[in-house]
Amino acid sequence: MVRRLAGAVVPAAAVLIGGSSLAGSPGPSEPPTGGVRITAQVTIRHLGPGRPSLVLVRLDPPAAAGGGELLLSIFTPGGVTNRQVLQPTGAGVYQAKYAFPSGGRWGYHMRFGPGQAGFVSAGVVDITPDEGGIDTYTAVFHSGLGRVPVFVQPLGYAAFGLIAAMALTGVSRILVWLRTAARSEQASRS
Amino acid sequence: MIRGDGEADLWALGILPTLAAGLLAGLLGLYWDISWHIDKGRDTFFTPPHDFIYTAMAVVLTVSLSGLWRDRRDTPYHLPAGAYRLHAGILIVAAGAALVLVFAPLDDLWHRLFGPDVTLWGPMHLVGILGMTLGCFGGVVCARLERALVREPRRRRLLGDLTLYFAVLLVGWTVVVVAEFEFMVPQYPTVWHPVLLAGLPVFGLVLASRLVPRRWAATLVALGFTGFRVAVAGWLIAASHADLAGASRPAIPLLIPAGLAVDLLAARQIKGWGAGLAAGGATLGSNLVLIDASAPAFGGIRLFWTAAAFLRALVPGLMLSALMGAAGAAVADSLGGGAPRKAGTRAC
Repeated sequence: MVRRLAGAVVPAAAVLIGGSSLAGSPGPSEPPTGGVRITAQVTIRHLGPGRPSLVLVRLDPPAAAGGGELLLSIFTPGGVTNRQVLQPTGAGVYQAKYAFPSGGRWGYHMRFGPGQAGFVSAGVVDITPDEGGIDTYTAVFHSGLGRVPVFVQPLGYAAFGLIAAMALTGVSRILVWLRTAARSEQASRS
Repeated sequence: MIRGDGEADLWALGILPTLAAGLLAGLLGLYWDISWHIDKGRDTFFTPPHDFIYTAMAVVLTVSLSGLWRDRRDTPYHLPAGAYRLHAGILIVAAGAALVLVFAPLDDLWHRLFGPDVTLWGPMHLVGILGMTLGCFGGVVCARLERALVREPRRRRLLGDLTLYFAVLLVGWTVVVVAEFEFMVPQYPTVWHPVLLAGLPVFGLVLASRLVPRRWAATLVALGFTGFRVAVAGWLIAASHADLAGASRPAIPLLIPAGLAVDLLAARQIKGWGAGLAAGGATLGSNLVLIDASAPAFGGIRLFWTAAAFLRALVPGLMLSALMGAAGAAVADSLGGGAPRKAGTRAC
């Protein structure tokens, strides 16, 4: 039974540690860093009232997100929110249908890449949702790592993996002890 | 006769009710905190949700330590530590709460380094989630061991229901890991959502099906989880009207089919990994339909699984489910859970 329990806990620990290291690793491919300026040209084509507007995002450089997903949120504070994860339809190209029931100043938030290693852009855009109207803006991304050395995030995940492994080991030892103690108690009673 | 039988148990000492309330408050506080982070930012460490979570954990830690001190029974379920005997369940709860509180300042440091735009899967957040999950697992162990120690039928029934309650919280904490996807602010690829949602809750469901002395235990846990998440949504709506929370609310995953699958397979004495596999498949299938049906055609907050992401998630999701099912069964076995009861039979 001890073997059986260890057989269940050890793979679980391996999955946890492996998962945490995967979570710390980048997406499909490493996005360019080291001073490369990353921008997105966003074009919103309005089709008229009651119909969705077509949103087109072009990343520059196109390989910036490494073929990964892009989260795009366009919203009015306390009002309408358009938010979804966009899949690439080409190299650095993303398309979606968003709803703009009113014009005026909207906020936007974009990000790609995993965790703190991701790239973020946020700001405002003026929307004129008349039929046939087109709004465009250029968004500039900044690295989520900021001034922190690149090794800090993997180090943090490694620390978590170690703590998780220690916790799982401690709990499994307690469980093994409980089982053994209960069995010996049963045996002494019989 | 167990040594210590007849002495005050953890319920009578007021320890289990306090732990039950504290761990529930921690889970509620976390969803409140995520909503706050999304819509209000993170201007200071002492936000109302942070205060709520850390106060709850401080209470849990204090009560656990007091429980370790006050519980003087000498039973097979108390670990020897020098001249003392420590209750195994309380020890796990205390370790979990301590982990959360010790890493709170490090979480603040992490935010200072990387700014407020961080992920739920940041290392310090993961340590916090691990600590809280450990605390809830400790709650399950506490209730289970106490039930084994008492003889009075009404108290045994109460402690059996408390095991179910802690199992609901345990499932709740395992699902917290996918909260970024449920709030639709993911910072990692979508494929992780179905993989983790299929696999992680299976541990608590299989554990409950073998430990909780009730028919349809896993289904009851899934229902309890759903009720809790509806209550969280209600709390967030009410708090946002009072400007005490953000407007963002998480999507509620469907775990009831997984609970049913675990219970039905329990009737056939299927092994843990088999029950886990079926539960994971049920979660994947039912949530694919639910997510697809509830996503707006365009605009709004659209949570959906693409066909490519779902297909990529299928094999790892089912493997993780089987693994979690096996782990749940093995842990239940070590706690004296034994073989699963038939779903249609009354527990003795």
